[in-house]
Amino acid sequence: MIEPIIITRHLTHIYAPGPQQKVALNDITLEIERGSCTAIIGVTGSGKSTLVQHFNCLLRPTSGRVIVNGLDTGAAGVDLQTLRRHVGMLFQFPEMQLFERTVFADVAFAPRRQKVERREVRRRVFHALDMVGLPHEQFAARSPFELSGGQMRRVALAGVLAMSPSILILDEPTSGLDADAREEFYYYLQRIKEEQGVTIVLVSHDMAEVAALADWLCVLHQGQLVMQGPPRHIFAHGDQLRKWGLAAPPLSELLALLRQQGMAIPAETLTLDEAFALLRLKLKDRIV
Amino acid sequence: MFSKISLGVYYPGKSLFHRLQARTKLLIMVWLAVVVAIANGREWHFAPYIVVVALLLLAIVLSGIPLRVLWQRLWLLLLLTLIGIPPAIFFSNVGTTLLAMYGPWHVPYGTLRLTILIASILPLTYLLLSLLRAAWARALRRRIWFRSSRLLVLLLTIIALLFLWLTRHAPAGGLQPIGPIVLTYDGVWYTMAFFVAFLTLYTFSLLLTMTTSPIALIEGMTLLMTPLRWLKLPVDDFALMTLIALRFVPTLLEEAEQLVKAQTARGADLTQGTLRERLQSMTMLFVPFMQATFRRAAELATALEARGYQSEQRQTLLHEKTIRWPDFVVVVVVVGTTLGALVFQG
Repeated sequence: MIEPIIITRHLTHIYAPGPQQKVALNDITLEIERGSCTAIIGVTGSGKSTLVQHFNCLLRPTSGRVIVNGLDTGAAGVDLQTLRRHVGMLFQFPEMQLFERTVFADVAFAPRRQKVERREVRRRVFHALDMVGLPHEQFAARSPFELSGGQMRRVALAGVLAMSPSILILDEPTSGLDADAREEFYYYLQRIKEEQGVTIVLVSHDMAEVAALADWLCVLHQGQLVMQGPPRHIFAHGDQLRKWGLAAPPLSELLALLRQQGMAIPAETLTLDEAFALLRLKLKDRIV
Repeated sequence: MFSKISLGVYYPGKSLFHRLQARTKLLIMVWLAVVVAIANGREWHFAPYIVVVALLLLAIVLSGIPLRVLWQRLWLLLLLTLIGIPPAIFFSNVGTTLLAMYGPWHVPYGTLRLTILIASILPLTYLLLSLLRAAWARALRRRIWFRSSRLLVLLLTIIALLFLWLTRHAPAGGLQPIGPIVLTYDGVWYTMAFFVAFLTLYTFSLLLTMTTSPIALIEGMTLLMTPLRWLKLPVDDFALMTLIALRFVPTLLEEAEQLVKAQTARGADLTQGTLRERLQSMTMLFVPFMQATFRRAAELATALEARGYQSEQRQTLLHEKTIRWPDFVVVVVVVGTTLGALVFQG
């Protein structure tokens, strides 16, 4: 049993407590395993962003506990600097947060703040830039504001990676990007996951997008954790997902339709290859 | 953190005050300012002030806004004004008619020095606390009030030391006169008049913005500014600009909050680090924020043009309607009572 890196126990968060209160999270208990890639899915306003902001203590629980890396974030005198060093977080539209004159300076901001030694900063920045597919020879000296939207976003990602966090939280990292930039972004994310071994927490409202990357999904609906499990298991419940305003990936939808028509397709089919193999088997049966 | 900033935001309701037209309320406010300014010139005539305060209390009752909500937005200003009253009364040497005079007191240097020495021990221990390495001292240091009050304490200590150094040659038996503190009729009257005027006008403007939706407010202002149209001034453009500015205050606040969070996650904590680091943290908020604001403005301009907005033509109004009897009644009551109070010879 791998020890979980993030644990929440009966986490409840209420915005503006009082007469006009708004319950953003309601009794959430979940665990995220070290080294896993967990996606948190839900429609706008379901509380996903609120949930992940608890993971690096930008928000504090109204009640309940959040334990990150063995550290209880609700405890008095918890060292936030250390906690945030371990938990890198990339917000929606992260290109907004760039401010330095060169890409290098922007990516180097966090490690410099952590008083990392000069040569080490250099090494980390170059590595982070290479990691996100912006070769440092080419990009380090450029201004971040002359890059394309997708590239700016990857600079922001490099800025978080340069902190060398053990948890990487991404809040709708691809919203507003076109299909190519989106695919590219996920390609580099996959690479980071494999090479760095960081725990990734993704926030998204689009299931198809995270299907390939995530190995665990948590579905939020109106501040409540309504379902969690591996993608195969979640996507098999297409009807329920639709009730929560979500849609399973197109392939799962198609297979569900075929199933309705009477084809015997196992509920756990997930990837294109699996579906292809299955259908070919069926066709062979038909021909023979 | 920004949710605590209150900007006199609209508080929905259906009270009489809510139903008044925005221009009526604006006119009343201007009228009250004029009344208060005139009343200032006639010393020791309290009638206009009593009437204005009474009208304000009536307005608060009629607006139906819970006192607690109003108090939340008033207490800070009230506190600041109360702190400001004593120095204003005692150290404004206007007029000659004395009301009261205290002092001057003659204090021996020895006593004075002893007092200051004892008084400066407290800040010194406080400062020493911040140098200690013990665990409990460190926990105390992490408190925000401790860190923010450090500068003030340091200043106090320096002043005390400076005093002791400057008076080192004075004999211990020598007398140092303190005071006198003088209270004049004029001083008391002007301070009172100023603070009453200030507080009533502030409260009234608060009531105005709380009971009038921003759009109605701007429309009321546009209507009041109609005469300026004859001078070829762009009244409608001004109205739109103000409206947009008001509309985007919450949006920009939200954006700023998001940005603060994003930069905090990168280690730019405004409350920690050296002065240089904090300044850098400020730039990393301002640069992206200004950029986002300019971009938003450009997009908004494009959107307006795309929808065929033209500034040459006269716009129609959505909220402001014809003036009805409540407006007339209120105007008559307010103007009548205040004029009466001004004329009244007590």
